[in-house]
Amino acid sequence: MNETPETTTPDPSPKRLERVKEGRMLTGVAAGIGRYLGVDANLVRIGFVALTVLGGCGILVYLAAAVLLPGEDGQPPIIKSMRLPWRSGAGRAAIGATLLVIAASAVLASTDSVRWDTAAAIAILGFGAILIVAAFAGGARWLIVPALLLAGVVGFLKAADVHLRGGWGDRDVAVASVADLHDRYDLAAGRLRVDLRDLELSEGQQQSVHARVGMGDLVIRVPQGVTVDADARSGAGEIELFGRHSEGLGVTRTTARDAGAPGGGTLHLDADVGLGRVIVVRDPAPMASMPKLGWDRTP
Amino acid sequence: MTSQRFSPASLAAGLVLVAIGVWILVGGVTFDALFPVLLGGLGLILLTSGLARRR
Repeated sequence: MNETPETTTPDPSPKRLERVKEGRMLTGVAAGIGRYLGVDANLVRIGFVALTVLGGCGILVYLAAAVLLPGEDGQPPIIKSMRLPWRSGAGRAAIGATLLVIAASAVLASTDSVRWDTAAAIAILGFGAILIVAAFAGGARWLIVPALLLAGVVGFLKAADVHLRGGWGDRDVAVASVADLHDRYDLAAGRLRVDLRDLELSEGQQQSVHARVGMGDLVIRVPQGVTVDADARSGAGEIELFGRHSEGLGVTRTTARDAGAPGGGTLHLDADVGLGRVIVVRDPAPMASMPKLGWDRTP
Repeated sequence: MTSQRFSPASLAAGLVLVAIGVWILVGGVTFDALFPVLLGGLGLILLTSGLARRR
């Protein structure tokens, strides 16, 4: 009895993780990973989509794989054929100059004497100067798009007269008496809630408060027994001043003299938001949006 | 410096950025003026780049 010996043919080429042409839909990454792992390429694609939907990293992993993985037949990775700026001396010089401009602007913005928009304008000027020099020396074309985007964003914030001062986040201020009352309340970005419900002003007594938020919400609750002379501004957003609503792009001002109970003093209120909402209400607040802002209607 | 290295798009973008930077620094930026300035700047850069490539 003859037995045929079992023979196996060794794979001539070792398994490689690479982008493949067969079965590809976009760049061949999913097909390449599927072939490497021995699974259907559609499962890999579903995995990328799931990672993108759940945490957002799927698209980043895919893009990284697309430029870093080699192609079939010994083709080099895409990244090797990209004209990356740091590969030339002029490109490295442009990157260095850009980093120096960013660092100088950050230092300027961190000082109290220079406003954020001044520091940003200096950065835009610096990027412009780099591009003018690089027009003759080369190496900075990559800077055109991000610098123009920065100029657009800074211009938009400047047009809305956004002031970035006073920190970030949510801040609650509760004023129990005139002694607790400050002239100014500032927040760069977030939600500033100023609770003046317990403030008592006697007849003829006047107090001024200036509250300002760069980007976000400014909510002020004023007490019953005080006449309020309010001046509210939102560079881009909306204002709700004692139930009167206005919104839009550009400077929006609404002035109202809201009389409280007789025998009380007067509160001069200057409420200013660059991008976002200004809400001034007299307690109890007759507005539906208060629960969304973290304050319920109960005293 | 060689003429191959010269980039008209970079020069135009640099000039546009310097102009916008000075404008922000000086003040007077409004929404009404901002959008035409940005669109005009972008148009200038693309026009310069396109004309340079045609030659």
